[in-house]
Amino acid sequence: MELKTLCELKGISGREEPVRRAVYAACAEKLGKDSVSIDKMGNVIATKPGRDPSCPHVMLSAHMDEVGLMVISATEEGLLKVRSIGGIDPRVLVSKRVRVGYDEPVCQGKPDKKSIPGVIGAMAIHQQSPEDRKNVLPIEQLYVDIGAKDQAEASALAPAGTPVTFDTPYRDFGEGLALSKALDDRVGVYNLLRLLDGDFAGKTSFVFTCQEEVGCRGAIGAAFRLMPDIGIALEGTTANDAGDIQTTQQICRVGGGVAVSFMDNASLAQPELFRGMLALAQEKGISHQVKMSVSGGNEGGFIQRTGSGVKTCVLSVPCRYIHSPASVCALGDVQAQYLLAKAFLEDARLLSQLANKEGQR
Amino acid sequence: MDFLSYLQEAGAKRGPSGHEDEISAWLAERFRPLCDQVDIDPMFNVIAVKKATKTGKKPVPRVLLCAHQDEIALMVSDILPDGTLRMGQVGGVDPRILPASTVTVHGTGKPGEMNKLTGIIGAMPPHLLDEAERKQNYKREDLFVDLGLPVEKVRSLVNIGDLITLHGEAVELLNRRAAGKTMDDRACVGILLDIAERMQGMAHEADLYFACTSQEEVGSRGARAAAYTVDPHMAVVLDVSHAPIPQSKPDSTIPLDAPAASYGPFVQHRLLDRLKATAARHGVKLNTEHAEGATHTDADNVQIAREGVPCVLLSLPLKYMHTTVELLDMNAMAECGRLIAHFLAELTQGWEDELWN
Amino acid sequence: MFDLIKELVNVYGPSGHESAVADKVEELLSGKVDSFRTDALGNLICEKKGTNPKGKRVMLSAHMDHIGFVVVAVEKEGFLRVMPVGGINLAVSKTRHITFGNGIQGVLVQQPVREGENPVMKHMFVDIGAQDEAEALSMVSLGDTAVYSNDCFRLGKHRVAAPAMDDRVACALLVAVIQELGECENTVIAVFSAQEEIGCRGAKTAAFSTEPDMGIALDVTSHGDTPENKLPAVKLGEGAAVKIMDQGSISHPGLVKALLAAGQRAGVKTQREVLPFGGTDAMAMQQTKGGMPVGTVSIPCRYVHSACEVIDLRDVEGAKALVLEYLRSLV
Repeated sequence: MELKTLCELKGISGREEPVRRAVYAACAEKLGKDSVSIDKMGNVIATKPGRDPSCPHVMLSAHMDEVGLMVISATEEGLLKVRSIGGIDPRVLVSKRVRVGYDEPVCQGKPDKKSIPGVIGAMAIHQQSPEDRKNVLPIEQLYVDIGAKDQAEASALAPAGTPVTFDTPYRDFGEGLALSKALDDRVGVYNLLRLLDGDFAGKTSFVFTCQEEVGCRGAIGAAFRLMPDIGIALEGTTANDAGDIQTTQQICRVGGGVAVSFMDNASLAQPELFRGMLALAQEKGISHQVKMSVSGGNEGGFIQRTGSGVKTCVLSVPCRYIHSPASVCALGDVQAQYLLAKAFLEDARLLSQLANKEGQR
Repeated sequence: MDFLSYLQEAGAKRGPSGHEDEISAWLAERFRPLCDQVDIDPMFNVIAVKKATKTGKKPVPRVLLCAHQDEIALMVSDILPDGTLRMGQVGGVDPRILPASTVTVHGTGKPGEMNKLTGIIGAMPPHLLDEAERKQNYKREDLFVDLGLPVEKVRSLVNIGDLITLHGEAVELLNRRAAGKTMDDRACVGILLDIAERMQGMAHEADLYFACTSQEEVGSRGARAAAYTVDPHMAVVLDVSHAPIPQSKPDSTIPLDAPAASYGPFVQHRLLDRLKATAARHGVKLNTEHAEGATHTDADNVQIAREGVPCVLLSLPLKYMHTTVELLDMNAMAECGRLIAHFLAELTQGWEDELWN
Repeated sequence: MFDLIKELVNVYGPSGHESAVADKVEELLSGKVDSFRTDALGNLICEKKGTNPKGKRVMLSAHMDHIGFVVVAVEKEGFLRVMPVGGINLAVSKTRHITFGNGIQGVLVQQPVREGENPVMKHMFVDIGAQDEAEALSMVSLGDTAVYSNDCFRLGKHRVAAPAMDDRVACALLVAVIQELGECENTVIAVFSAQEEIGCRGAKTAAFSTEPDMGIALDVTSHGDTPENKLPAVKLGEGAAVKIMDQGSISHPGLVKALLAAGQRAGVKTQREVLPFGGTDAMAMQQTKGGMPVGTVSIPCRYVHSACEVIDLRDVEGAKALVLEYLRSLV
């Protein structure tokens, strides 16, 4: 499936149905229905047995959900009140276009349903006082306008709980870059789907998770079910490299290759695994960088603390303006994430070294 | 079920988070005649099981129903040279409710005995404070418990770490409303009992696990353990939520007179659809409540137990939460119990087939 | 006990990089336990089987890791930018001598801040004596860690100061307990845990795989006996503290009683501790699987999370006697 297709699918945390359907279908097509399942959190899990039983079981995860909004009520005038699902800075919401609801396919006699276009408006600058211009509008004061006449019309079309996603089409951008919503983490989903084709040394589980943006909830359940030896999270991460920022504050650079983390606020890369990953990237000539930060949390942390413990490492595609309607990444970095993950899974020697020698020291 | 007398009795049982020995023992006995098996686990969770009365073809689903039994309270953190006590908190205690409150100190100074001592929470008298000081709320660290005893007596009866509980017997008000302490969440435990009673006369295909959880007020620690042990297929969590008072902000409350179901990422949306359909079918007024992230209830930990548990979260509206005059509507309690009983009775095999579409 | 503590506090071991500490502990306990193993998080799990097959499985956890710094960037001029590993207190980190895992020395410095601005970690840099970025990167790499440099000294008659008392003093305590335990009906699982300072991560996985019946954390606690520091109401020299509650866990009341009683039988002073903040490995053990009764035995400590953490040797000896008596008498 193309990255463009994946990015344009709608799926906020807890309501990932459209993405799940597409991912499930893609996995079933490649591996057969017996190798794919949907678990108790709504994750899609596909497993391939390995060739070498002495190799550890590797779990790769990428999350299907994107940040977005949720309708909570309609005002008398027909405006929709919303709340954020996942971390969104309300300052990026003003004057943006959104889609209210999902595009649901025709099924079981139910009609084809389309999402409704909406806008997040703001007071015209002409009418703002100097004070107004200084204030950040919190989410409680932002509304989605779908053009409804009144409360009845708005509530009927967008009842409480309706998901709202950014309306940003995917497009190629600058030189070798992509501009889209949801690069975090459809880039990971895209790569994970491609990795399904590989022929790997050890047993490999491909987990397309739910609810990462609201606390990595899906990954917790998936890791518990699988109890892998090694966990690799494929993520989209913050790049702070534009706008004349000091190098040491940049975290990672778009175009600098796949970012390998030694630590973030939820996980600590197992030292051998971290060094092995960097050495592998070096050896194979895969463009890579070390993520210069310890902030941000992702599934790596929860996978690491599952069961008796899992050796983890996080591989991220640098994305500018993450968690906003329009983020930017380099297609070369997306490819680098894929190549490094693939090289790792194919490296039987490195995998055996990392195998849990949990017996005597 | 006689909710008022239940509330009066339940409120009087000691059970601050982590120390639910008295309340758990009492609740276990209330559930015993209604269930096939009742156990209290090492964290004081009461788990009462009522087995399915009819079986479908698939393995019997396990439904976990949770409400928490623990109460917020205070704890002796230091004994001052004059015999007064400094307090730590067990769970979130709003210090504004404390000045001039009567409390009970559960003293363990005498080995083998528990001495219940009456104390009063004191502070500087207003006459001696200046304007600015009187405009500030008291901080718990500046308050003290006065037992009216000399320091040597206090030291012989009280230890650091002893529990201090608040007073607040349930009182009936107009319109079937009641107010008292620890409605959060013993009122919901009462609803669990009501459901168990109703299920005596209803057939059900699921094994029902009624869990009176411990330590919710300090992070739903009991529910985490209970969900792991029970390993349910789905869960119904009951807790209280805020009903409107004059200072309430918009979109932050639910009406007092009816239960509400939460929606958001932590709630399984198809399970919620099923609950709403049940409410419509049986004429139960069910409001909804937005939960865009953590719900701050047992649902947060139950949903991620083991491989994950699809959950619904029902709220009983409550005014003045975490005071000793928490106010609720007993009709809302009854309707909540009636709704869940029908929901459980109508749970048939194949309920999980639609969950992820 | 002083020599044992000194030996342990001087080993390099920030969170995530505890292997040298594990090696040292294994050396000290060689021949005293039935098995050693490490897990994916770096915990050292030592099991000493009980003589009674119906005996209890007790997990004792003392954490090997201590707070430190990690290199996140290198400036063109050769200065390093670092972030904390665990709860670093900026106020006690200014112009501080730090040491990297590979032996490189550095000075942690706070650059001047603007008027009215509160200094945070991004205002700190490390001078390792490099002339430029290239030289710096020949000495350290991104992701390398550093800790407050070793500095263990006696303080007065009974006290000792050093960085990393939190929690090497409890590691020393646990080592001493295992060394002296001898035959015991109950199985003791001595876990020298990893990554406690960044969220009690090690104890969680160790408890999962060892499935104990109960868990007791051994850690330091703060103090209430210096000017202006009144809580917790715990004093140095007044004995081991049995924790009733902190932010991370509420000790099981029965276990609290049993630990206090063990202290009494052992003839040592004990204190009760109510801590308004903080957490120990007890939190992680209680949150594992179906939960378990947990407690913590604390060593009172002054100036926790500084480069001069101070404990009283008498409290450590008392804690050792208490724990030994508890393990031996538990049925």
